[in-house]
Amino acid sequence: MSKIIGIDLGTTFSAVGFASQGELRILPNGAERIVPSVVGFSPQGALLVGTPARNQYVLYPDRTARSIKRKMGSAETVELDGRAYSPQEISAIILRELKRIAEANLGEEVTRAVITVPAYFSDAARQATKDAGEIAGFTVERILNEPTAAALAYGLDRTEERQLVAVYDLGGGTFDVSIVELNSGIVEVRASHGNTQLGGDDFDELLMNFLAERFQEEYGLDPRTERRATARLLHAAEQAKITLSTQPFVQVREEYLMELEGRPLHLDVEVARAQFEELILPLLEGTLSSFDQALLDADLAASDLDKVLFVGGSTRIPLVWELVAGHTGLEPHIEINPDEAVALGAGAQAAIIAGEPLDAILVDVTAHSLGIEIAEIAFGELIPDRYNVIIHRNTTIPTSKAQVYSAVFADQTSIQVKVYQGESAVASENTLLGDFMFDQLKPEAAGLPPRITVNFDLDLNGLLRVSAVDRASRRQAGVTVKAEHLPLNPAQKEAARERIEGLEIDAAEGQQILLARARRILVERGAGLERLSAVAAGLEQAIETGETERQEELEEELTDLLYELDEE
Amino acid sequence: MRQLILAVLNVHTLLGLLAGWLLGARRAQVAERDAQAHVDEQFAAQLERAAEIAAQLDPLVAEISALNTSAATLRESVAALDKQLGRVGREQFKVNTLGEAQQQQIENALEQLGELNTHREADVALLREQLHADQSAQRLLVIQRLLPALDGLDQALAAGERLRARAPNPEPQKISALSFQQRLAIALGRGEIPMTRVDGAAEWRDALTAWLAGLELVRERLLHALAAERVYPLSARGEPFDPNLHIAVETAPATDEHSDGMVIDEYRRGYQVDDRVLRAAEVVVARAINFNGEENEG
Repeated sequence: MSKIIGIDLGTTFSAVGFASQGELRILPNGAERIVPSVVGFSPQGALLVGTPARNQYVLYPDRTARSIKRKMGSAETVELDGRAYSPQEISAIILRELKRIAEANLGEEVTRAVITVPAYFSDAARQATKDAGEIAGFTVERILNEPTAAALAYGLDRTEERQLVAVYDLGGGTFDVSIVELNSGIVEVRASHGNTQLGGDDFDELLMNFLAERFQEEYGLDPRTERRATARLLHAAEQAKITLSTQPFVQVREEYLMELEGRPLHLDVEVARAQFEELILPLLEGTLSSFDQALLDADLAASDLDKVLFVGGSTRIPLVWELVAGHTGLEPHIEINPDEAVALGAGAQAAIIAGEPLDAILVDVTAHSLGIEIAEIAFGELIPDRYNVIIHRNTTIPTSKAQVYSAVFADQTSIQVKVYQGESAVASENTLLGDFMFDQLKPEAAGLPPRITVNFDLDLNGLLRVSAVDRASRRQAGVTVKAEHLPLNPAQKEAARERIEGLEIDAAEGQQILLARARRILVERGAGLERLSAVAAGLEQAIETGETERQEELEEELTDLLYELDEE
Repeated sequence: MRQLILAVLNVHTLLGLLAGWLLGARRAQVAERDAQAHVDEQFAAQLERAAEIAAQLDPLVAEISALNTSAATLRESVAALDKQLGRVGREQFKVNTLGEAQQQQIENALEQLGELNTHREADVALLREQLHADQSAQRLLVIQRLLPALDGLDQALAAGERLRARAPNPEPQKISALSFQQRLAIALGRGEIPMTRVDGAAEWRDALTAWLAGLELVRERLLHALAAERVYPLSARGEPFDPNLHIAVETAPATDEHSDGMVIDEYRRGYQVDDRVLRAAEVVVARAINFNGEENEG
């Protein structure tokens, strides 16, 4: 029987998940872990799948099909190179490529697959997906809902108690949120709601427009009127978006972006995370409405939820986390790479069908939140000893996160950075890991309090590098502390166990050695050693019952008996 | 008859014996008297000697009793020693037993260590390999971070070229602006149309050209550093579009110079490391346009 793989057949990207030796992993295509869901023909008629097909899209849109997932279940066809293809056929070409990738990784033919679909997919779309799988040469073992796959990736099916889980999936081009109920291994999607035209690409475009407007303000020229400049700006926007997920500011530089009467014009803009958040907030608020709608459809309140899982690359944006956390009162889980969670979950389902053992996905996470002490100003009052989290607990490590903080007073020249670990809103109720003084602060502008960017860099060993940069002078200070109470991983535990073993022979061990010798002699010589046999049995019993005095007596006697025998 | 002979013989013998006894008794009486005196004498001497010996015996007895006492003590000591020896032996036995067990444990541990060492060696080799791969990956990451700077340099050079192209060029003066003599000379083939004078333009262009050449050297230097890491720029301009190396970002009408499917221009240069594409080139590709305005197929 062929091995079974799990396939996330996505709108923009697809991926293959597989469980081997109990471990779930992605089967990559060379250096690529995800494959663009694009199919095309070159002018010479060669079939292109994935990145090369995507690369030619602008040049040969009439020879290239993308986002075919949106058409699944419809009777619409796509014309490529003068021939009409059904959505099933296009999907089948992608699936066949994924099959090839799986076979290259596993070194054998693979003919069985689990394929995921969105929870909102119609029966026709599901059937079309199954057909596509069969055209590609697969026996489709299961059509699996994407939110269910995410829950499986997190191993939530392995708990007995009933759980209600929301899966929030914000990808490159689609958004949906599903309410999943898990009960003794049975998984059911109770409701799903979303927007098939919302995702990270929209955020890129909003940020690109923002950058174009900054440029226009400075030079009176709109870069969007030039294709070349537009393409460069879109790149820059996407890069800036990614940087802003870990940094509070990003410097966007596009030198020689345009020319005005032969004079080169450069874009050089600093974008604050807050500015980016302001841009995308309306779109994100829309996702919260979908969330409420899904809860309503499932006849549930946010307080009924046990967990929130994050899927899709755009869930890496900190504001998404904060909004959903604030909306549900739960800390969303993002430990498993949100780009890969669905494919890994499909791989988990495949393992269940194949009867393969499966361990939980092991990810190194921080067990406690890490942050610094701050003072808050509320209603004109200064409230000291507040705790501001920079790295949330359950964040996958290694990780790097930064935030910007303002001094309280305009003439303030120093800030004490106190690093804490814990969950209490009151800083001093958490564990103080270390602190350092940052002085000679300079204000960025006269009359404004100085600001510092505090960066937390947490490595796999639990070492936390804290650095602060003065925004005005770029001067830097920092400290490295050890984040405590990091749970030992199984390998560390095993190493520790081995270390303490066999250090010295204690009383109990001495007794065991004597008993072992007695037993050996009894076996060797057999008859005539009734006393030895009786004493040995007595000692064994005394050890069992824990009578120490009796143990000592019998040990003594046993030693004598054995000694005498030894003398003979 | 025989009995009679025997009886006569016996009487005779008895008579003889009686006579002898009587004689002997008499003689013995005398001798006894003599002997008695001698014995008395001897007895006295004996007594004397006995007293002497008795006097010598007392210290001996004392000595013997002392000897007896010390023998008992010795016996006790020997018993104690014996006991002690037994205890020591037992202890020794116990220690030996434990020692044997420890020896066994040490042997086991050594064996395990040996195995571990073998594993360790394999691990180290693996780690070294991994370290090497990690270092390469890290260096590649650094290079990837440097690429935007190199892109900027490309932009700067392209902008410089455009600037140079815009620099005022000397051009032939208008015929109408020439004097009659000049026009005549040109008409007779004895002269050429003089060029307009642009103040400092030539010098300025020369300076810009030299400056751009310098910048080009800086770029070469950077590319050289990348080549040391086996990172090379992808050629794109003038090549046929290859979806494995190029990303089409724009199309432009094909011309005689640029046929359909040729890369005309680069938005962003691509790079490869060994045979792998590190970053595909973003290119403008020529497309043939039909007379009815539709794009050509293939």
